[in-house]
Amino acid sequence: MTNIASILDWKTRLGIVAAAILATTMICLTFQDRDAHNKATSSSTKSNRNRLSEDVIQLSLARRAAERGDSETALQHVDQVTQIQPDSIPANLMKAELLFRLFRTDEMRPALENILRQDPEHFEAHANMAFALQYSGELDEAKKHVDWCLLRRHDFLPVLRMRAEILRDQGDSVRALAEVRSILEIYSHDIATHLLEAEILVYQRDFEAAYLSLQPLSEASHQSPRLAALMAQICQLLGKEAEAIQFRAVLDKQKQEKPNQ
Amino acid sequence: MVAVALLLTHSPSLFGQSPVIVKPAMSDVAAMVGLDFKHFSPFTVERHLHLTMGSGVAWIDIDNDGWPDVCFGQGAAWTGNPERPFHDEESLDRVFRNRHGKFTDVTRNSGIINSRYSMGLAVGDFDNDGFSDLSISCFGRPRLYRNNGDGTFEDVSIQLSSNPWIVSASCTWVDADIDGLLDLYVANYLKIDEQQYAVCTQTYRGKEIEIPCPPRKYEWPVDTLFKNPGDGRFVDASKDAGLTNLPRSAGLGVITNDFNEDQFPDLYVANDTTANFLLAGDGTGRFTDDAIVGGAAFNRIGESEAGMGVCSGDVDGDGRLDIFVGNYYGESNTLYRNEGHGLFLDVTSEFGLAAPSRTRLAFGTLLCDFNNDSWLDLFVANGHLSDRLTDTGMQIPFRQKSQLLVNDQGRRFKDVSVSSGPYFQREVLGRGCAAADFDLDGDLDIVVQHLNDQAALLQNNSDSNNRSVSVKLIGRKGNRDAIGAKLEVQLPNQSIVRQRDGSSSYLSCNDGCLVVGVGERDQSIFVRCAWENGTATSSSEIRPGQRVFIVEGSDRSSEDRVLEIPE
Repeated sequence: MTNIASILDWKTRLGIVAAAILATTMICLTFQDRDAHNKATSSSTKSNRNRLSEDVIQLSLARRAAERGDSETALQHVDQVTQIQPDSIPANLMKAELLFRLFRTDEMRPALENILRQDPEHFEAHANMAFALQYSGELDEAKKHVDWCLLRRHDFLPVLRMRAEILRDQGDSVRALAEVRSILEIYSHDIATHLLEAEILVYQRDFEAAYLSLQPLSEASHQSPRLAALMAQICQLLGKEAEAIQFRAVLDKQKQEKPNQ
Repeated sequence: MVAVALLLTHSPSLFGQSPVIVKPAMSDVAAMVGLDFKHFSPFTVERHLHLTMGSGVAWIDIDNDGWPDVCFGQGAAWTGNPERPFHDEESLDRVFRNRHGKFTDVTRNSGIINSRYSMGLAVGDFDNDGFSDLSISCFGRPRLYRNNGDGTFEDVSIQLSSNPWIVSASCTWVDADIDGLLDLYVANYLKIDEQQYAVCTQTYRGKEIEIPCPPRKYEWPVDTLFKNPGDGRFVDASKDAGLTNLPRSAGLGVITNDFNEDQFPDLYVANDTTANFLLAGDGTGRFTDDAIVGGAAFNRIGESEAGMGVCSGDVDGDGRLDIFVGNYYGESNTLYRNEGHGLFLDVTSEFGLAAPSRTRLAFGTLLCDFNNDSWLDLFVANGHLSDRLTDTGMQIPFRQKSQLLVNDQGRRFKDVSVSSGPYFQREVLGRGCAAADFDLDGDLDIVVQHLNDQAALLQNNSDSNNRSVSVKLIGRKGNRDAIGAKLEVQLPNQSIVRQRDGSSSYLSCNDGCLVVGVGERDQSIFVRCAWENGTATSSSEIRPGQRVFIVEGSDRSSEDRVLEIPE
């Protein structure tokens, strides 16, 4: 089963917004897969394996491979499911998530479109589609899915953050900052949103404000290379050399523990 | 020049006006002007990695006639030994002479005879005789050619000692110790095991499929600095320069300039999968890596990326040199904004450069003002390494489209590839690329190397009222090619800064003549050149449309001169 630690791990690599979407998707998958896994286990113990449908087995194997971090193998199993059942919603949703992990975001879209054809109200598919589109630069299209999601869940944090990111990506850092600050009124402790706020402030060269925004979170830098890297840079830019060295040391430690090779 | 319809778009400005952005219009005229070059790098069954990396290209005015000539690095079939290539015609580097915008292959008489697998090319007048020389890094020993001044070169490669099993990548000329003599920096990519060249496979649906290995499968060599003592020799000064103290990395791109504005030349090296280097020079030939402290080692989330091509320029008009790095598929390219004092910030997303690059693999990168509106635009040559992506279940394109992004007044880039000409609809395997005004019509054109394919020459046909000045800098106290010098062009509301590079992009080198767009201005402009040794030359007599030399004052006369280049 995908756990919070592995999602956090992916936050470092893919950005926290993306990981939050993943988390949502994976929560959904977790229940579906647990069910599949239970079925598989139960069937095996009854020596009834032959009767168990191939797609359930493959989906279960895919989930196990994903847990090991072997997204390539997981995808191969999911592909086998979609060959048997092209319209399987859990398989297509998992496929999209795995493709995202493999940086193959272009390929997420057919899987998500398949889900939306069958179930136009599928919230996770819309949220993931918004992310896939934003990631590949189709910001206007991404915004349509964001608006769709927020109409149904106006306070859904990952999508709220995505709306701010789209504004930033469109070059409107002023509106993006306003959006971020309105999110922080609701989710004042959300690290990812604070990071986004700080990044926009840094872009606007308001380093002091960025520092003040992140300072209360500095303890969390031990968990987040993104936070450590940003704090190191902000401190360096503000001439806070000693603090910058501390954050770089945190970043170094994280890299030694988890080199991205 | 072929005139085409002006392509215009409107965008909101900072002041509520709607400035017009001229979208460059480019067309591939290589076949029309005689630039007939096809890259040759036949893949082996095992997909040996270096065969996928491609080669560079350099503009070099061999005969000082003002028309930039071009030299293509050529690949080679893999024979099992980098120093024993097949000596066939198709493995030779090629030299084309430019006469009034038409090219003739002059390789046979040029003296540049090299059939190793060529990678990076850099142009610099290392003996200060007024004729630009050429270095070529290879899989195999690097090559060095001294320009004889008569259209031929002398092979003086014996001066560059190196392990032939190192795959070298980009190289650049840099006056590391500011003695007026250009030294040579070579970014080394991999060291191949002589006994066993590592190859990789991937299992897909029970089938083993050969794929190019990731760089971590190989040893990573130290980069090399060859010092030029001025007596015709080149001495390996890597240890004295501090390069042996750096973490081992797989270097691919390298550029030089004074990035931290301390008056000493620095280097920036784009490394594949590890932290990039920002090598701050101290003016004595020693360098310290300030990339991590300066924020230019990683992307904004603290991750190292797979850097390929790299280029620099003042993107936002603040007078400081920003750095742009092209990265791997799934990563975005990265724009590091220079905040001064050697500090950089990743502003890729804010400049609109993240999303357009995530689903591309960037090699060649050029920051040049293609529409002469005074803001640096961006060209990126894309294309994947592996031709077996679909065989391994991935729907990632092997061939990819190149991109042209126009700078909207220093605030943001807009991808205008779709409307910039048919070339940008072609899926290619882009590798090295370099810019020059090859037809001397006042705008910058681009030559692009394609892996295993014909090169393209993108003639810039942008038709607008924007104008430029073309400036060739000539050093006298410093190195004659003025590599490392900065040119400042003063407009009423804007100061434009351009730099003289020792190399750029991926494995490539732009023409040494700086083409500076000045918008629609037609009055004389003020120009100031800051030479690398700290002196400066100014002139207020240069008119848009002019092509001039700016000559550094000599010790004896202290006379600075600005001369119009004769037609």
